[in-house]
Amino acid sequence: MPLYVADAMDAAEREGLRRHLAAGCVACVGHLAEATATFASVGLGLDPVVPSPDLLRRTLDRIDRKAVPGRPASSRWRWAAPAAAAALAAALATYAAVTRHDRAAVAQTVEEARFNYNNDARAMLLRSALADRDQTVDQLRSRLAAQQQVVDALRAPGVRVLALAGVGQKDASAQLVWAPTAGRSALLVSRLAPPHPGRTYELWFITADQKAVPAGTFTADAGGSAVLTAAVPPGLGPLAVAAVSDEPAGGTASPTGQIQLAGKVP
Amino acid sequence: MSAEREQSPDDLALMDAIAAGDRSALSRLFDRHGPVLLAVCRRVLNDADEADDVLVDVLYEVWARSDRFDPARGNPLTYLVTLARSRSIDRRRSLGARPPLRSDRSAELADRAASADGPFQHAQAGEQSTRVRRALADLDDDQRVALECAFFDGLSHTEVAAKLGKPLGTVKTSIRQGLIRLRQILRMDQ
Repeated sequence: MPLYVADAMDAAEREGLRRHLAAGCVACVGHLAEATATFASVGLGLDPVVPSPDLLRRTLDRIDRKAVPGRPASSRWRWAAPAAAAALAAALATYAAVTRHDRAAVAQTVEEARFNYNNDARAMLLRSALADRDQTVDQLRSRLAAQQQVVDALRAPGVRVLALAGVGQKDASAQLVWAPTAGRSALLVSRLAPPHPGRTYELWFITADQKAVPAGTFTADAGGSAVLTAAVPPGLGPLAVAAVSDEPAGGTASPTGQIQLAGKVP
Repeated sequence: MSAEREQSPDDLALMDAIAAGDRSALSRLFDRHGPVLLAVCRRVLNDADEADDVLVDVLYEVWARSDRFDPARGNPLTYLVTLARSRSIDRRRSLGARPPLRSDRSAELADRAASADGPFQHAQAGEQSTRVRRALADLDDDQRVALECAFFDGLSHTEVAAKLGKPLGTVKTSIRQGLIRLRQILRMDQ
């Protein structure tokens, strides 16, 4: 679908997809709407340019010049959902054959089908917006829980904070809140680029005897920030180094990728 | 954030009101989205007067052909941006000249200067542009340039390939991966 909206399909591919969409595949119409919105986002990256109020006046003047009395109401059912389209077709096919009394009933059916379709379309948008909102709420709850764990770790007795410097990414940095007596730790990351697709970042606790213990995986957001809370394994032993490496998605049992952040315990 | 994420019930209500013949709704739509639409027109046309004319055409079409907006195919902002882009590209082609894709930032800086005195109510639109610009900056250079050629120049994939001197398959991959990545970044940045 991205290629379709960006006019990057061969003619045959394009025509095939156009026919498929015209057949009323609801799922693909949804994908098309999503891809169209993303493509349109390219235009939203421009700095807004405030138009002169004169442009609105010119528009309204043109409307006045071309005004048509009894302007019809909107008829947004060209892309009717299959059920609504079938109801409309059935109603229209029988329209000519029914009595005057029945015609009124059929007309009402047509209006109801149109009304239902508009409601369906709006409901689809609202469901999409609601799903996005739910996702945002979940993300915020997750962030809040992580921040609470950071606060809990900071309150633990004997807490220490270890600075990690960028290795693979020089601008990146992190702070490790280390509270082994409470069995807690938290990593606060800044200016770390999001991992490439199929990759993740993994935190390692490296002990004085060179044993690397995986402590969890994370990604950075678009702003380069991340928070990871991790339990300190019982019996870990003295921490010598904390490090973050770039690993395959899902993480690994021992470091295999490039080290991005590292800090030694003084 | 994609254009889809800027959806608000108010936009849908405005489109409904416009369809019902409410001029004040058109004025509100102009106030709310006119700056974004004019930016698109200017970027495509690289000519302030032509861009003004096209924006008037777009607003009039929103009014006169309100039946063309279908909420099942996208939200109002997506529809408006797509319409502004399409009409601007049509105008550019009718003028018989294709201004080069701007490689310097001078015209964009001029746009910024023009928008600097805008009313505070457009701060949200400015924030939106910053967010999208940051997302675009996170794309690979090839992906970003291919998308910009396709969007602002209205070039087909074969034309983009010829313009950039890249194989067709590479350009298609850049466009596809760029759009997928852009959507991912905008969602993460929500």
